[in-house]
Amino acid sequence: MSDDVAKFLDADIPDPTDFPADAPGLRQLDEALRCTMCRELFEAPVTVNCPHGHCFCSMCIRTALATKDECPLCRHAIREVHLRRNTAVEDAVRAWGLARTFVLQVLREKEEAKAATVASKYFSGKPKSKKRRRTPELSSDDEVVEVGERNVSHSLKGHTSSSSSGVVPCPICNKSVPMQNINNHIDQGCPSPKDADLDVLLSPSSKSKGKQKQEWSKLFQGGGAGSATTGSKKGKGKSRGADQDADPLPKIAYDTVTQKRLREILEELDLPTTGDRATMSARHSRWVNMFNANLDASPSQRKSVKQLMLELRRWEEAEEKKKTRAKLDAKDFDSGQYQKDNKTTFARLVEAAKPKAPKKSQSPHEGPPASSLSPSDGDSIAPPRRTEVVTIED
Amino acid sequence: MDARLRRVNKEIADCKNDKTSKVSIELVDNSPYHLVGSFDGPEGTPYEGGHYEVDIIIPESYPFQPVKMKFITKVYHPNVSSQSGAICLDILKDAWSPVLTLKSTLISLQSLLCSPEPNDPQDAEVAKHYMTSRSSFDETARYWAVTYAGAPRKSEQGSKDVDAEVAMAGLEKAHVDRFEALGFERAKVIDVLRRLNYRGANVPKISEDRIVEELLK
Repeated sequence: MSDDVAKFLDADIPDPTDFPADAPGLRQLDEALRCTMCRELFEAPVTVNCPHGHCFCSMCIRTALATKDECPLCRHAIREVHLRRNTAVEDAVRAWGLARTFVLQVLREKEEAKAATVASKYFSGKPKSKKRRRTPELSSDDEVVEVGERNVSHSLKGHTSSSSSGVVPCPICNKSVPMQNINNHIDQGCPSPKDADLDVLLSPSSKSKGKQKQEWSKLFQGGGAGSATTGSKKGKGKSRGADQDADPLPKIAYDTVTQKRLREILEELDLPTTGDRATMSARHSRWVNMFNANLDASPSQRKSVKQLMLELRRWEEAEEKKKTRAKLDAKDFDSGQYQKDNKTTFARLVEAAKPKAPKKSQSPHEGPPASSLSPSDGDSIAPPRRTEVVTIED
Repeated sequence: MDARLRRVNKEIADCKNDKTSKVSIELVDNSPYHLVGSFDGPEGTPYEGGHYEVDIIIPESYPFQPVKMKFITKVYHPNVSSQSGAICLDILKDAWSPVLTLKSTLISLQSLLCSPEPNDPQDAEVAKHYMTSRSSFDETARYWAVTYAGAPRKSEQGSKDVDAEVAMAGLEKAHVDRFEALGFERAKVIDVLRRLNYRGANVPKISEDRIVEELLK
C-alpha cells in the first residue's frame, strides 16, 4: 500500500467512537450533532419540511436537492424554499465542539492516571513520573488542534503543511486565518480574519477584470465586511456582504441562458469566467449553493465572501484533478494516441533528459516523425529520432 | 482531505470498529475509491457458510450518487447475474440516499441473499429456476456456495455421485443422460435444458420433441 493510502487510513478524523462505548450519552451526543450526510458536526444546520423535521448541513442538503427532491432520511418530498435555519442546533454544535475536546482530555487523563497506578506496581523511580506528567500536556495540545475539525473547509486544511501563505483553522475560534498571522490572531483575542489577509491567496489567479475589482476593494475596505464597494454595477453590491442578512442568490436554468449571458453573470459575481459552458455552469451552481448555505449560518459563524471564493477555487481545482484522473483511468484510454497527441511535450522532456547529442550525426531525413513514439515501446518512452530533434530545434 | 475522502475514511473505520456486523472492507490498488467488501452468507439460506466478496467503486459525486457494487464471488441468485456479478438492488439505483453508508449497503446485500426478488430479476434464467422449483434452486445455490464461496460441503452431498456440470446448472442427471444418449454433446444438452428451464413442474410440460428441436439448432 502506498504512503498516501496509508496516511489516508491513519488520518485521525474525529467521530463518535472517540468516546468509550460505556460513557453514558457521549457517543450518542456526538452522533446526534452530526449531519447524516457528511458525518461531520453540523455546519449551518437547516431543517427540511418533511413530517419529521430532519436536519442537515445547509450545503449538504442543497447539493442533495440538486439530484433529488426528497428528504435523504425519510424520502418525503421536500423543497429548497422550505429550508429553515436551526439556530438552536448550531449553538449546541458550537458548544459541543469545545466541550468535546475538554471531555476527551479529561477521559485521557483518567486513563493515564489509571495506567500509571498499574505501572507503578512494576516500575519505580522519578523518570517515569516525569514522563507521565509530560504526556497529558502533549495530548491536550493534540486535542486542541482537533477542535478545528470543521474549520472553514477541509480543502483549506490541506494547506497547513504547504507554504506560509497557507490558511489554518484557529484552534480557539475555528475561523480560518493565514498561517503567518495565527500567532497575532490568538494574541489579539481572535478577531475576525481580515479579508485583506485572504486577498494574497485569491489575487494570483484572478482574471483581469475580477482582479482589478479586487485591487480596488483592497484600497476601500476596512476589513471583514465583504466587497460592498466593489459590487457590480447592477446593484448587487448589497447582496455580496455576508454579515448583513443579504438576499440569497437566485438559481438559473443553465439550458436557457446563452454562453455570453452566463459569462456576464459570473463577471457580475466576481467569479472567474474560464472554462467551457459546462464548467461555468457547474461553477455558478456550486457558488449559489455555497453562498446561500453560508446565509443559513448565524451571522457570527458566516464566512466572508473572500473565504467562500477561496473554497470555490479549491473545489474547482479538485474537480479538475478528478477529471484528468478519470480520463487516464478510463478503460478506453489509448496510450498510443495520448503519446501522439502530446508528442511535442514528450519530445521536449526526453530531449531535456538526454545528454547532449553531437551535431554532425543529425540527419534531416530519417523516416516519418509520427512513429517516433510508437505504442510498442510500452511504458518507457523511446528517445525521439533525429528528425524529431531537428524539428524542435527549428 | 476533501469531504468525499473524509467520509470514505470514516466509513472504512466504522466497519473496522463495529465487530458485531461481520462486514469488512479492504482497499484495492492504491486508490481509496476502489474497495472490496465482504460478508458471510446468511444463516438459514443456501448461502450459509459461504464467504462473499463484493467489488466496490466510489463514484466522483459520492455520496450524492450511489456506490457501484458487484459480486466478485459467483452467486446463484435471481437478483445477481450468474455471469458478471451485477446486482439488481433498488438502493444501488433509484432508491439511493446520501445517508446510506458502505456498511448499511453491504448489510442490505446480505439481506438480499436471504430474500430474493424474482419479480425484478437480474438473471432471468436463475429467476425462472427459482419460480419453477424452489428445492432445486436451493440445491443449486448451495452447490455454487460450496464451489465458489467456500461453504462447507454437507456430508449427504458428498456421498452422492454428483456431476459437477449438472449440479452447477441446476438440472437432473437423469435428464441430461437421456438426451446425451440420443447422440448430442453433453455441454449442449446442459445448455439447452438450462435455457428451457427443464425442471420441476416444467418437465411434463416441455415435450421431448421440443428439446430435440432446440438441440438441432
